[in-house]
Amino acid sequence: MRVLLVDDETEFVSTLAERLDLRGIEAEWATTGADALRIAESKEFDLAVLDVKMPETGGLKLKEKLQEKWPKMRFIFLTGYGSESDFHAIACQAGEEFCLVKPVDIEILIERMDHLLERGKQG
Amino acid sequence: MSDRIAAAEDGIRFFGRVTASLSHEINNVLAIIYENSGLVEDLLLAAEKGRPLDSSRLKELAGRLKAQVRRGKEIVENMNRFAHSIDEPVNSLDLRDLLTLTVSLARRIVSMKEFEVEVEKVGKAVHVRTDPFLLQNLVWLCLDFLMEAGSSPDSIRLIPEEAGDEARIRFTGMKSVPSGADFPTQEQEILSKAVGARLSIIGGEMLLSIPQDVAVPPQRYKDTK
Repeated sequence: MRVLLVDDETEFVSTLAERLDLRGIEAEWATTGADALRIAESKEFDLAVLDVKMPETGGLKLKEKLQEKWPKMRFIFLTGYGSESDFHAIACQAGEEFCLVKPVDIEILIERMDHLLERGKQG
Repeated sequence: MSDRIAAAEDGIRFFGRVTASLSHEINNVLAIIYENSGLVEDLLLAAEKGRPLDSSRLKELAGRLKAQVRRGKEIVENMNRFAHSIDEPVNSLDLRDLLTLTVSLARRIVSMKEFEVEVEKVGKAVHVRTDPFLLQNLVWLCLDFLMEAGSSPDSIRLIPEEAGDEARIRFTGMKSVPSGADFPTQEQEILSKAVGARLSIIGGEMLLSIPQDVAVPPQRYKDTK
């Protein structure tokens, strides 16, 4: 599995990438939408994990741009919002099962990734 | 809508935006601590399975955890100072301190709008006796106005200074300062009146002039007519 992680908190995203790597998941990371698009320009990823709220290009907008280039790419959104109404507002746009609230348990994240990719194969 | 209700609504909105932003920042700190401590666990588990444990890596991760705790503590301290700024209707304060706090509180919001805001660090202290909460709210409205009307990315420098028998905050350093008909906004006018301040845009800068000693304690959220 090849995953692209995008979050404006460098330490969060780089550590998450390292932890996924320790579990045998190839993960690359970026802290801006522009960097993510640059990375995705030359390499295909199965899945992207995107922070919803980022300067310049937020996760939802970034998803659209990545999907133009890689229509088969799957997405999981991370949000720092604790409020239930905010979460549901984002979930409505992203699809509830693809939206997780930070901090996120890495095993749950991997479970969601597997689920998404499995569904992609079936669909 | 009366000035009283408008000012109260604006104060609550300001309080809400600041606390929402700070809680988001705290959550980010917690998420980083969670990932770093998770990585420590991962490395220990790998060591139990025979992978060599690099002690310098563990020291580095401990350092990262401490740094995030310090970051969280700073956010909480700022949050606490902000919450207590509403305690006294009038207080003596150094304008530079108030601006530094306001900019710290707005850090994430400012960054999301692709702006940089900094307070001039050098220069003598500028003391004023005013309502700290209303003045912070007014400074925030000025920043918000400049960011909304300006084009990102850009930066804003805040310079506190004495100007005759007044204190003054210069909002400067932007590529272009708006001079639209919408300035000052109704909210800016209401809060300016409450703390006896004047707002203007002159020579590519926004100026906020404040009396060094507010003559009459502001009647928070009461009609200022």
